[in-house]
Amino acid sequence: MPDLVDAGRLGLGIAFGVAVLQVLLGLAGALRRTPELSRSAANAASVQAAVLTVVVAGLAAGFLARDFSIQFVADHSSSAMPTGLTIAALWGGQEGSLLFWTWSMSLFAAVATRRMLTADGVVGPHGIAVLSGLQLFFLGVLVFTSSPFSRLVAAPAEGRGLNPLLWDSGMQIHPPLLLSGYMSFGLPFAFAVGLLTAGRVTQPWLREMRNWMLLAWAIQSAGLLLGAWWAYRVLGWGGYWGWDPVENVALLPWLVATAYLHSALAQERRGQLRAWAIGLVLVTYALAIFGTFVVRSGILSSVHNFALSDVGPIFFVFVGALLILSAALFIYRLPLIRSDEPITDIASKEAGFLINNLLMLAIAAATFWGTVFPLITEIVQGARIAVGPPFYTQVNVPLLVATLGLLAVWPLLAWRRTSLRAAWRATRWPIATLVVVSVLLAVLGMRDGLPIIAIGLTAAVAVGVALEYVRSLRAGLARRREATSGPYPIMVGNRRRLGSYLVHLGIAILALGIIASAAFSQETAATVERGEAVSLGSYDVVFQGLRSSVQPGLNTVVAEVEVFRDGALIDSLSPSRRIHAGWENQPTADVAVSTTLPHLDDVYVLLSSWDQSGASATLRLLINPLVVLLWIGGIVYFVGILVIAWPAERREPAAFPDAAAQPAAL
Amino acid sequence: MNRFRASLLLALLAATVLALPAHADDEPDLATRKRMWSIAERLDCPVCQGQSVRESNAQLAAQMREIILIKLQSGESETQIMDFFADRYGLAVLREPPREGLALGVWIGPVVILGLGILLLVWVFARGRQPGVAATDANLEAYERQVDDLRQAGRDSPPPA
Repeated sequence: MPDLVDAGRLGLGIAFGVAVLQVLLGLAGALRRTPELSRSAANAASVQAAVLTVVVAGLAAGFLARDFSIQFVADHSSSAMPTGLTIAALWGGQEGSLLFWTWSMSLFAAVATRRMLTADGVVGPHGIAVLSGLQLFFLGVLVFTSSPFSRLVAAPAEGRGLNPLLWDSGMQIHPPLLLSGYMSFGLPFAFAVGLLTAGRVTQPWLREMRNWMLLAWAIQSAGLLLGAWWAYRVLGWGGYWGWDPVENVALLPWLVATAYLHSALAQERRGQLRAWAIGLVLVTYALAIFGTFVVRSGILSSVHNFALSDVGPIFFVFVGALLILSAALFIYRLPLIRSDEPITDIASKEAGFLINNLLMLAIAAATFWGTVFPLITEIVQGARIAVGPPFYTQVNVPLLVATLGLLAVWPLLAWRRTSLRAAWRATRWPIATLVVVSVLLAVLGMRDGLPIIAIGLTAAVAVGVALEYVRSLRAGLARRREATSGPYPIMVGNRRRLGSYLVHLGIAILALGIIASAAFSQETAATVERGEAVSLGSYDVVFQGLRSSVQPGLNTVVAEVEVFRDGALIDSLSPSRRIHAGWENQPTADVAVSTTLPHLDDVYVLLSSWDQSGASATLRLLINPLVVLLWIGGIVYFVGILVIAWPAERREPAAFPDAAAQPAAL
Repeated sequence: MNRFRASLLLALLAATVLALPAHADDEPDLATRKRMWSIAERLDCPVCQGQSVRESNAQLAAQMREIILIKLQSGESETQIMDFFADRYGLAVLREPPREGLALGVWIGPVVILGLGILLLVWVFARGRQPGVAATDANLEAYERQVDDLRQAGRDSPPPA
């Protein structure tokens, strides 16, 4: 068998050499304005991607061969682990996750460097040089401080195994998505810095930058949403988001990227907010690296301490350098990139983008402040205070409700300026929906103001979106009637706008799930004998007994329970606990959830502890209404992103007979 | 987790439970339980990383929930209970930062930021309204009516051949 440690080291060495060459070629191409050199740098990026792919495959082979002479393999896997999980253990620790980051970045860079050259021949070489520099930094950290290829002198017979919390199918998809999300914010950053160093603003370049940010933002969205799903199903505390420092720092770049995507629209359509949008790209990446620093340094206490290491200081210096250099560059180029096109009226689409930016950045700032505040008190007072969920919900939920209000009204307004009369005509149905739904809920006996408004606003957003789609369908029908020849469109309208409406609808559904489940969630816990029930609201959960299964390295204790609603049996569940060899003090819960129809309540049952004889068990029971809306909203959100990103068909002149014919007739 | 610290905490708690009045054994009603969970949600579990007493499945957290119940039944107020735990484990046990002293800063920060943001927005709109921009509701509405008329006319007449 070939020695994987030596081969891995050799591969990383080659990749590092190629990366150095790529930076030199990229710099020379940008400084000497020789496109051939930049093209060579793009080729080097492809070579780097190929080499790193082989290296990653080598480490994966080490995991599959259970080669415990590789320290990283021995630390993060064991023979008891199934194959899928064993491969996922590749990103189960600091070194492997950094390798995954560097590798996925090399794949993105191999494509991006080529697209940079076609987007703009002058700015392109600058973008390539910047991107190559970022790649070299990560590869350098990987090779010199965090190589996953170190050998254990005496290979243990058995590996330590993955942390049981990560022992879940979610492990195969959530971490790689978040790692790629963090990583891919570097691409729009390279576009922005390239633009600033080259000192040239062109529309194709800005469009390409926007597309890469859209991709990064979509990946980060998926990572966050899957993280929420995973926490809900695995961590076993009944929630999906804990305002934990590691969760917060992953949300920050998403929020600022959301702000950017909106101001970029104003930039593209009306030439407004150009410098502002570029600044947001720079901030997004600084926050992504800040997040990496927090996750990997363990400076803030978190349930997510899976990748702790001493690379913290390196990332701290990196984020500082990024901030200082990009701020200096930004200020230096400000006269060149600023746009003089003013935003004139609050009743306009672009004003909506600005308000969106205000709300997203306010949420981001409050979250950032709450996350770092314990550090401040530690420095000033010597003692940390805790800033927990009660702080974030009190500060952020009102901002979230304001965002819903924004979503219900502003997307329906026109560009530049909407008269009061036209604004009313565009928004009267959503506003009427808000009023009717809220009054109805209050009459029906709901007393909490916030959920009432949230439900009303979500309904208003849904009506607004439905109206836009009906309008677009009718326009499509009209065109089909009038058209003398094909193609016959089903809908007429700006695909990106229609997709964005779906994303908005997804966000509104999600927000409704968040607000309603927080307001109406109930919880209880009880120790029950076989045949006894834990009761809460209309639900009774009857304990039917325990069974256990023993596999090599893993004991599982399963409680059989039956769920009754108003006395009628609706479901049988099997919450369980897993005890992994080597992790006996950390029994991991497998939650059982049953979503009831049509009430949309989640009956969430957790096995806390049990009597050795199996006669009794302690069960925790939560009734979480409407949590399922999070996952439904998430799906709507991604359908919307697909609609936005779907490649547009070429516009054939024949599709618009009158538009094509009229100029000729005149 | 430091086992020694955990057992010390448990011993402390056990002592507290013993010292409590005896009539607390009565079965707590649903409202009391609800209050207990809401208090537990605002307390940080001292032996877990980043989990509240409500969420945590740790033994210590379970006992803290028990203590909250007993104290509620013996008529203590929420503030008294929170203060009790803050005295035992330090301020870091309170998930909701107090609105006093240095911790007040964490509450003021977001308000200040939002205020500055709104001011900035007002300034942007004020700048945009400066002379040269002539659109008013009056002339915009006339224009919109014209567009509507044209649209109506287009709908009534047959499409041009």
